[in-house]
Amino acid sequence: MIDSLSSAELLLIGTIIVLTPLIFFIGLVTVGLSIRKRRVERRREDLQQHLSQELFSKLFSDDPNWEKWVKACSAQERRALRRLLPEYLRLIRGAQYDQLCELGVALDMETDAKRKLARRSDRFRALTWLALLGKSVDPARLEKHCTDTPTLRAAAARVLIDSDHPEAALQGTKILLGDGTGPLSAFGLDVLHQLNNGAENPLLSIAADHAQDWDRRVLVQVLTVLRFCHLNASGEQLGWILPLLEHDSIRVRLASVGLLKRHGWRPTLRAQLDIEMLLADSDSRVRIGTFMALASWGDATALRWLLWGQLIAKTQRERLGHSRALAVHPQGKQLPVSPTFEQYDRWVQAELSIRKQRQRHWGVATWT
Amino acid sequence: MIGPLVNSVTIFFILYFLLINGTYLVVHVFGLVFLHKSVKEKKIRSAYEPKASPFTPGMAILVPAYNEAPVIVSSIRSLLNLEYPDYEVVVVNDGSTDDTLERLQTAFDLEKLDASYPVDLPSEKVRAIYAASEADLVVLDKENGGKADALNAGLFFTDEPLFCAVDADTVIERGALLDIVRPFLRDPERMIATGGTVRVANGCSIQNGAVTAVRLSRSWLVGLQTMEYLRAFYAGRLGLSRLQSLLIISGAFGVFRTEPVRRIGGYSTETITEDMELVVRLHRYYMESGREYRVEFIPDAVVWTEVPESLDVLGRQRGRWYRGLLESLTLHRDMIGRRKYGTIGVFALPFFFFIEALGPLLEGIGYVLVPILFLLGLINMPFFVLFFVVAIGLGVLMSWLGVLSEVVGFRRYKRPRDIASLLGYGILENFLFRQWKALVSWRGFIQYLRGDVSWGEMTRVGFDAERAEQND
Repeated sequence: MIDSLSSAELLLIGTIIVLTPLIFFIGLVTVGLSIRKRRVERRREDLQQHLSQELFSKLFSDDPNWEKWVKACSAQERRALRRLLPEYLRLIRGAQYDQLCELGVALDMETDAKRKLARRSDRFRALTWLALLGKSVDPARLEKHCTDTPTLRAAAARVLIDSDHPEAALQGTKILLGDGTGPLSAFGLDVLHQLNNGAENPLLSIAADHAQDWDRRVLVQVLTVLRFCHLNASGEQLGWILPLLEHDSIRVRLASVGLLKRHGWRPTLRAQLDIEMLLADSDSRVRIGTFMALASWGDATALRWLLWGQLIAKTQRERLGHSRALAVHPQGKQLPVSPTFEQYDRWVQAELSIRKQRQRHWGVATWT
Repeated sequence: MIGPLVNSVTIFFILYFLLINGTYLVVHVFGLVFLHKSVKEKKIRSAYEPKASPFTPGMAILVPAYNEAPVIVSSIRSLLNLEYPDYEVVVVNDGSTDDTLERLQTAFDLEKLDASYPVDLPSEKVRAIYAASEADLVVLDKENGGKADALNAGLFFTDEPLFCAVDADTVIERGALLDIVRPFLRDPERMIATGGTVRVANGCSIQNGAVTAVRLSRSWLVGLQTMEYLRAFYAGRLGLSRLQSLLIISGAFGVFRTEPVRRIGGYSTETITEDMELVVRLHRYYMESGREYRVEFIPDAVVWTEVPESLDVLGRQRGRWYRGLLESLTLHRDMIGRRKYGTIGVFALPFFFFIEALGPLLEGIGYVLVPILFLLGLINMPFFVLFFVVAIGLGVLMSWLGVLSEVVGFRRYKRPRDIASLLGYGILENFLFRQWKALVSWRGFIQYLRGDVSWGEMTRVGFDAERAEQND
């Protein structure tokens, strides 16, 4: 035991020999870095304040002459401007935004960004600069270099939003969706929405062709995005949604009902809907979603279905959802309130009188 | 016979000591690596604007409040001024006996809703509901049921897809909600919970519910806690998050998906640290159902809170935390060591059991046993001294890694002299403070065995009690 203890003592001594300089090193590095960062930070703050003042005085002048200004800046000042500019591009709109984009060009940000698309380590920053500057890139080039990860795909598709390429919306949508196996980030959803919320809705035809092949999480996301897009589509073009109302996934059914809430008013589509089936869905959230869809269509037929809904709403949350739907329907007040629903109606009226009915449906749809 | 027994005990303690410190070191290293990644991620922002996007999830900020009159108005004012596109504040007045509710009514012009909420909430009775017409603020006035009960009232009341549980005395940084929601935006299909960093408000300058100057408190006790928090959050939780082993999301600042928490029944009112128990139960639920999910810690999502300034109050707080840890581990003991529960079962829970739970108890035994054995001449003096030096050295190393994380990560303490002070506290902690904490753990253990469920009282002084020093 003495031997083993002696070994233990040796081990402890060895540990102390290693630990002591390590601790001193960490302590010195910590204090040293703290001092250095404080100095750098102060210099950077002073420089940024000075550059910001100059930038804004030029921005609101008649002729900023960015090229001349940038040429006169030191390398450190140009680097600082490259850090500052993206933040202002995010905040400023209108004529000043266009001026700031010109500053970005004068700083060679567009050229550098396009060059860096082929470089793995810088791609994301390059795509962000291009998106913020509103500069377009050939979709084929984006597809070649910028589809490795979902984040890169979203950033690449974002660049196409401002593109004047005739197939920008379609190509951007295809880049985002990839092979339909990986769900999108909120950034990806946002870009998908922006690409399809205009005169063209390529996502609609892609979904009609491929919905059955996609991962169901992707399907839910696509349905949600389409719900919030302006769709130039007839009822027939939305017919592919109908089988999804009987999907085995609750979330797919719920997202489909959500889409109907916005787009199901189309007569040819409504004529094919089995409202009774939806109101008899096994999940209460789908039933509540159907109440809200009926409320948003707002006609007499929908009101009759809501009257039927009063009979089948069994849980407290369903009854609350039903009362909220009635409050939204233009003729909802015409329906007599049964004793069972009195307390729900009172709550909804009280809520509406004080709290504005918050339009939460964006967030709820995506995040349910 | 005594000699071999002493040798066996010595070897046991050495091995246990190696286990504890080795594991902490691994967790700390992972924490530092992840911190570097987090800093990089924050620097390179995408073109996505969450503030302007319809796909940023709506959130309810749940504020359980019991006798929070000194701080409640400033706290809620700061919550109503956060940078986030879509959120509501739900204050749950948990049967306060002071004028918490009256102060809220006056400050925010609350109107009582002329109806009762028609859905049963799994909590003590809600007496009335108030709302502000000019702000997204609702106050549920209910009978006292405890913090978990209050949180349950709020989370079953709201319709928001996410909720953020905060303490009433917490100051949230203006951009903190956008920071803490980042993992949800990155991975909306899998993320179920994220936790932020809690920092020490004592010593800081706070005006209109916002921290305007960050300073280290002059109180040595607060300084020690500040250093501990840095170590715990920036090394501990970061590392555990990286290892997919996060079991604690601070009750002072955590965001959860509403629906799964409701599905598992909300917070447990049977434990005194409901925050940890909820997270473990979420892990259990998702592991047993085989669904993919993620729980993450976000180092740059920051809230500030007041820490105890007296040993008495601190002792009660730490005792409660320790009891809560034991409760949660006992409740979910069937998960410990089970491969069925993945990293949680195989690493995280054993880590918390052997190191966080047993560790302080064994350390306490050591502090008593070693001097006795020394006095009886059964301990080798050189070995004892060397072991003591190594123990302190490793303790200092862990603490200084925490302070280094602060400097290389999302710095709030920018003055080098504050950093130097924190390093000093990292040394000081090993002399009496650690020993005192071991004693507190033992007291907590005995209280746990006795079934003591008391909270103890935290005396609120409000944020204006201490003023920061002038700029240097």
